[in-house]
Amino acid sequence: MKNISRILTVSLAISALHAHAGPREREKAYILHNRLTGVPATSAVLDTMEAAIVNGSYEAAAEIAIQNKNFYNVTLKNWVKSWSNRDQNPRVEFNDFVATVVGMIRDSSTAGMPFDQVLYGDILYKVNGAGTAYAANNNDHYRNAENAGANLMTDLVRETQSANNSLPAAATAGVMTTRTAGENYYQAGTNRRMNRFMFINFLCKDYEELHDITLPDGHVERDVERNPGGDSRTYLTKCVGCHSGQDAIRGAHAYYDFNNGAVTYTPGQVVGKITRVNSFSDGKRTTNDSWVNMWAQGKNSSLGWRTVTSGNGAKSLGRMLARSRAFSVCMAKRVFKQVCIKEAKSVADKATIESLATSFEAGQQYNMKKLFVKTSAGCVANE
Amino acid sequence: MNKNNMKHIYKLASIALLTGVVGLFTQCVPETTKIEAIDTPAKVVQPPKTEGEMLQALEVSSGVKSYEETLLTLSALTGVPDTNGNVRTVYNDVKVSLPTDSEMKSYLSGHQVALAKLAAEYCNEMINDQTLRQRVWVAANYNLTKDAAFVTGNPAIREALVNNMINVFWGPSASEEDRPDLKQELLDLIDDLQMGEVNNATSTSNIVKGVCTAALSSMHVVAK
Repeated sequence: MKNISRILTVSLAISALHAHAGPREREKAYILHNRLTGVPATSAVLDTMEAAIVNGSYEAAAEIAIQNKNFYNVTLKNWVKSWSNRDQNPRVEFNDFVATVVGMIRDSSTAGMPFDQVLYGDILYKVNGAGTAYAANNNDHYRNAENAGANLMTDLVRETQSANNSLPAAATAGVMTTRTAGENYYQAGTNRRMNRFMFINFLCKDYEELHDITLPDGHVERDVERNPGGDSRTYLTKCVGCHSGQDAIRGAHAYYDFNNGAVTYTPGQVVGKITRVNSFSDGKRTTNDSWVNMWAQGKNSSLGWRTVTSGNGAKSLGRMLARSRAFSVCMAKRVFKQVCIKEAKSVADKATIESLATSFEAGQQYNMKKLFVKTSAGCVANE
Repeated sequence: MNKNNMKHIYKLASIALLTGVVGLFTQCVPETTKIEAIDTPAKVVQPPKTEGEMLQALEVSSGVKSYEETLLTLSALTGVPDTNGNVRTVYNDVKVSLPTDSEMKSYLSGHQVALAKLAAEYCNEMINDQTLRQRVWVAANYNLTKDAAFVTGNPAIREALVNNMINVFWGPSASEEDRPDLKQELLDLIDDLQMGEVNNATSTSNIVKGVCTAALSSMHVVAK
């Protein structure tokens, strides 16, 4: 025990002496590699990264770092895991949601594979050599792939959901219609949860932030009480602030549910859980999968809606979300937090986020790999 | 963020961690705080900022590695595969106690203890492997008794061991200006670990494992 305490004490004492030194290129390269991959670079890789920085290009150095498989296996995988569940917990199994996002980031530098399709594409990534075949009603394929140490840089294979699940292509909507998203966001409830978590994960906005009681309440559904606790003022000053917007877009998911371990889709038939509760008969009753974005008006128009703001089904809704300015800014913020290890709070950092978002969405390329490279290079160069 | 601020953070964090470690080993039970009734309004005095508040107020642009990053980092530095059975057993035990994210301000004494346990197992596997241990330990010294290896009359062996640990485990994360102090800490540890030990080669090996554990569980390894 004496020796254990002494060893711990020394490890802490030398930790106290740890501080990143001055702007020396090799140290910068070392930090950059650790930020992007979670592991230290080998001497050979460090040499090439250092040379790139000496030649004036931190971005070239970052490009070298992301050739390490742990950029995908560790950094991206654990970064995205928390988006795939209600608890926002990264300590969950690898799954189809995570595989699809990681695969899309890997391929986002390829023409015709922009990352914005993450919310509307007919896309599913599977894992070569997982040992267990993919199934639409369980996670065995992905769990076993992770346990077997699959190389996510090379083993992810792009396929379509429509070819692997029972969904028609027109009903697929990127990660929203993956099995894991269904398990977490369609299961039980009233299907409001799906949109809420897509806003949190991809627009960096929870519904509380979108609260706006100035909007008309014509789309608020029948299951929302108009006088909670016997006081209608609560409805008018609180409930309507969120439900006027969120209920107007819930219709996009009217035909989806999660049953027997899989996402189910019943075209033309609204799932029973959406209309089961009737607290106010004069409220809106969902009869089809149409949706309208009430937040395109009022204060939430600042989210930058660019495409049509009404439609039918999850795919068109996902496209609207992914083409918004808020999506680009959110992705830039998330990458910044991941590789710069801080929130963008200062004026300079906020300007950086706007610039990165603009670059990210330029020409609708939505290249996430480039976003990681530019963001990490900028941070490490300026620290 | 400037370097002085960084050092300040690490020092404060280390003090907090040291306090926590002492607590862990002494099983201290905190006293219940008594709240006295106040009959008359007292003058509002702004209480001094606590250590935790000072830490929260500081802007940090450096983080710590998460559980999986830690597993793979120690593997990369020691050469011991992360799939090694003994390493995996320890990792599965301490995984929940290693950091979930990179938030430096959330790094606690429990994280450090878990890291030390994992580092100890990696070092055990590394030093027991005749090939891997050559990364830090010169082959000619494997079978020396602790006195032959580490007594003051033979400083070259101690120096080589410590220098190798710093170069292999810390690399560029240990700045040139800090290296003398860091090195001295590890040399002092070698002296401390010798006390009361039998003068044989097993003790020598155990001392090397101890120094390895201290070096491998330091912030130089898990900071990013």
